[in-house]
Amino acid sequence: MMRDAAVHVHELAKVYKVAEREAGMAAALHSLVRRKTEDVRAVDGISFDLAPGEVVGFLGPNGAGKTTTLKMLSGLLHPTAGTLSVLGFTPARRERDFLRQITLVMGQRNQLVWDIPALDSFELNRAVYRIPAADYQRTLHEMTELLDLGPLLKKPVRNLSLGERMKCEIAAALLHRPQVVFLDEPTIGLDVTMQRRIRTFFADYNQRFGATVLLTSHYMNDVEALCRRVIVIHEGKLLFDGDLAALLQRFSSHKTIVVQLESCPDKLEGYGEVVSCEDGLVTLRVPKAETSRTTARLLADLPVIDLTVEDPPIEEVIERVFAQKAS
Amino acid sequence: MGLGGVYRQQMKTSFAAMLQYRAALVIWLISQVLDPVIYLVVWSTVTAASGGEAGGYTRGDFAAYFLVLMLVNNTTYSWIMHEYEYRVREGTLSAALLRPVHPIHADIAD
Repeated sequence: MMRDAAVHVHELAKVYKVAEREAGMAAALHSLVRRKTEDVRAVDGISFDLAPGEVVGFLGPNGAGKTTTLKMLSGLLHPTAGTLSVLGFTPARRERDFLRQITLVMGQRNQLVWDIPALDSFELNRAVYRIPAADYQRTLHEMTELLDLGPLLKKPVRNLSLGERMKCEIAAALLHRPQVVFLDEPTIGLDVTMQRRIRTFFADYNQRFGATVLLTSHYMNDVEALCRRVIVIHEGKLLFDGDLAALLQRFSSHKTIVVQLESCPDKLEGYGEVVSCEDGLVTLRVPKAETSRTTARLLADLPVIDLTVEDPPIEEVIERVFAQKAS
Repeated sequence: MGLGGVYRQQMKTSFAAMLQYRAALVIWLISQVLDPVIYLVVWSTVTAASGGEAGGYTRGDFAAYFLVLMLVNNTTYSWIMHEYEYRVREGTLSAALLRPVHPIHADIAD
């Protein structure tokens, strides 16, 4: 176990009992008397530690167990097995001192009161979290500035756009300045500009308050911008825990070479797998070990205007990780 | 600021939510008052027709009864059991459970 870890997870598991039945009336009646259940191992013995102030990406396809883990970490679910500690507390006990120091932002859930302005919900949070008036004013001022909330706070939440509402949700969730922040797809459904804004905000929050952040997102830009370290899970099991760069290194066996030519030549197959060729812009996928040799050949053989060598997009690498493990 | 502060703020919030839609508020007020008024009119007519008393109750007794009934009904009626069922099923109870205050306080204040 890491010394003074903000979050410590050891052999954590969660098994859900899910009722199953065939379709139809007879099956419905039968299941009333005799219910068939299946054990679903949503989280299956994962372990990791987070150091104070660390920002870690928590990746996995849908149904990998990310949200279940976040719910156990924030005390919403009791683990089936394993040990868990956040800031020295056992989350499932839901002690007040614990709840005052954490937050969970879920992109698909909202905690603001729908019909009234966000400012009223903020005031309620001030009372609930017992935030001293001066601290509240200062944090509110900072949030308003960083997230550009000024024009939004006095409008009923239901009249805000998805992005505007998300900004208010985030502000509400952070007014008490939590030391540990769990983010479950905070940028889901938002446009690119809003995603970037929210990313910048969390980076800033982490810098200012030294908060520990665990982030799940399907947008790799979020992960790349915020996290040096990533934890990858699949079907409840931990696949990878380490630097994002190391993940790319380990799982990307290919590089992408983009070459700008006058036009698309006929024979390119000899250089590597041709991903696309449009208006002379050729994208080739080559084995990592062949990269320099292929680059040299391309430059020698063809009238190259421009050439770049890129790592494959992180999405592609992650996809390959999951595909490998699934097969 | 203790639990009292939470109650005060929760009441303010609930009140603000109630006042948000003016038409809904008016309709609600009418529905609350209409019921006892109709009963009262009926029983006033009955008492007037039977010489000022019906079954030993005067018109004033009926008025007092329906007024108190309206108040008691209003302060004791609760649909919180349905709300809790909905919150659990839809997952909105999660947000309430993340707060350092028991979710029931919000409903009591409400």
